[in-house]
Amino acid sequence: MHIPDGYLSPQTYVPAATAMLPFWAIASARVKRSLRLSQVPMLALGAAFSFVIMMFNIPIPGGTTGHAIGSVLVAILLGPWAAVIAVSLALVVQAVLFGDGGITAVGANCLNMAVIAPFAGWWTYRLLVGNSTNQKRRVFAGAAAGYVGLNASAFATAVMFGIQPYIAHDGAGRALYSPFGLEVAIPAMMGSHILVFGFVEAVVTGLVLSYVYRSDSSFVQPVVANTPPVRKYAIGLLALVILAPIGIFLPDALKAGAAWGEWGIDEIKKEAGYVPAKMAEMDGKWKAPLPDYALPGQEEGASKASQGTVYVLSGLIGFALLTGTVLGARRLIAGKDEPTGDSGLDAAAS
Amino acid sequence: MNRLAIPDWMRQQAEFEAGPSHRVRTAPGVRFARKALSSFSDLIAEMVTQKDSAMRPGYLQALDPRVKTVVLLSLVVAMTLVHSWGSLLLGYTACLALAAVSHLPAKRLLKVWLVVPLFTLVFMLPATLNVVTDGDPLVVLWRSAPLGFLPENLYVTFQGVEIAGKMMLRTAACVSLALLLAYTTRTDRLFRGLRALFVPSLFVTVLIVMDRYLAVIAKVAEEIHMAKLSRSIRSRGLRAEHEWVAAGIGSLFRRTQSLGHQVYLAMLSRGFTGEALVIDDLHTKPADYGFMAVAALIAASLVLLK
Repeated sequence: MHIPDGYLSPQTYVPAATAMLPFWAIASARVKRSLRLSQVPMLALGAAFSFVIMMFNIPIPGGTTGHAIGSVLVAILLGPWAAVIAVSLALVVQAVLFGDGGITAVGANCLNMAVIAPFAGWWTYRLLVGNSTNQKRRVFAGAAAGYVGLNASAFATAVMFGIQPYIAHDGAGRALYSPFGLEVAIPAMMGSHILVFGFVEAVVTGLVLSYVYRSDSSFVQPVVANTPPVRKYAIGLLALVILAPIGIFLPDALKAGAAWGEWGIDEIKKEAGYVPAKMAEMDGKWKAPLPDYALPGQEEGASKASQGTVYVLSGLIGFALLTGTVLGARRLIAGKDEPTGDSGLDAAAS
Repeated sequence: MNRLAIPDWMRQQAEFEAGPSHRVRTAPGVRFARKALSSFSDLIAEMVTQKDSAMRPGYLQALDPRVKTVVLLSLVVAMTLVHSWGSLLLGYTACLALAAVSHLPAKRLLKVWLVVPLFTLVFMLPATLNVVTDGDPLVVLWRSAPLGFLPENLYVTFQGVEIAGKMMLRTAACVSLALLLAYTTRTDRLFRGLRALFVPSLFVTVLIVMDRYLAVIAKVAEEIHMAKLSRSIRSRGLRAEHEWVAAGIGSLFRRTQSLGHQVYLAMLSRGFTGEALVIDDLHTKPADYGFMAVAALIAASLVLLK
């Protein structure tokens, strides 16, 4: 998954490195803010640990071997922001000292393996664990987090490879960097990761957590004690729902028309002079229950107050549906344990 | 500088080779452990060779690490911007010339120089075919009547080979520049050179400590694998081997934590207050300005050559 130099165009590696800057800055600030002096060597040794676990070979059925990237494991053991620093530094050392991964691609590699993988994995872990101290549940959550984190990272890498022929080519349209488009890069990358390497990462992450929890019970502490209560989020979201009708009143007041790119068939015809055949074909295929955030039968020229009320109602319905789906999925996947506290290690590092 | 180099009597061979893992007879089903063991031995040998090479006399070794870091990394960026054969060949030739005047260990470098371009070659092979890169036929591999999803014609195109060749050359030049930096600069100085690229001091401090203990952690991992191999007659099955790998990583983590605590106490006892202080012995000399001028000339030629 380490992208070497020369595979990515400057149009990709410069934005990727730029995108990493705020992550490095936030990680650095967070670590500094909560920094006990002891964390400097812990971070350094965490980075060395990240480096070395990438070299562990894991047997795969069929006699071959694979590697784990270990980013999710480091995120669970040290905290996601500490993982951003530790894995980034491991990748920098691999690129600069050992030619493993490109120097120009350091930003891209860090984005994929030091941000996307740990955070995708960490959020999956938190979602599944809640504040349970049940070891089996944590091990399962760690395995699932490893699988999700690695595949998220692999997908981002595939997209970076896959966009090269479209954004960097010569006058004849031939690729200047990686020549495989998204239709090749995504199946090639994701096939092996979804079917094989994702499970390798899952097995390693889950089993290592199992070992660590068994050998040191202090690790089995609840994960999210300092998480702001759900009620605070709910109040904020409800406030946003109530403020949503601004989206109706402001465009009218400013005569802004429809949002760019959200035109209906009539507006397309007005702007472009015709309606593309496929677009006309697709029009009306799906009948939404609340089309244009209006009740069935509500007239188009209804009063602003009535439109605003239905807008708020639509927001509440969407809010309830999404919240219900997420909580239902969580209950289905993670069982009924309720969150109870926080992990000292995660809190210290993140 | 030479007197700091590892003396010959401490080395049994002219160059460091990987340890005894290469001579261990592997039990069936535990080749994964041997492969990992070889990787750790190679890593440690590589680190020793790099440090040794960086302390030997040579053109790049004598330069200010800050100048060297900025110039060589800028050349890596320049190499990713050029696309003509002339520029790529010039860049690669410049790398070889710099390696020669810096007396780098050719045998060890050759391994890396070959592996990365070969990986690129394998990656790029499908791109030489007309199904990926359309163009003039160079070697026809398949020609038939339309048959299901198979293409009517399958051939290697001239343009595909050109794209693959340029990609290999560019990758080889970039990895060479990175290795030039690694093999001619002591790592503590190299990381201090990163300060010239505005890398925050926290990162540089952590990098310096990390570099100091990377070999220690790798050595622990090597010992874990050596212990496994020396006690293995045959594989105990996939599940048991997975559990062993996990226990190895878990055990390494525990030892890392313990070592981190010891390092912290050692740093405290030496007066560490949160900021790593380094001796400011880096000075820019006329030779550094000369190197900058040569590099600027090379970079200009890379861009101008068509």
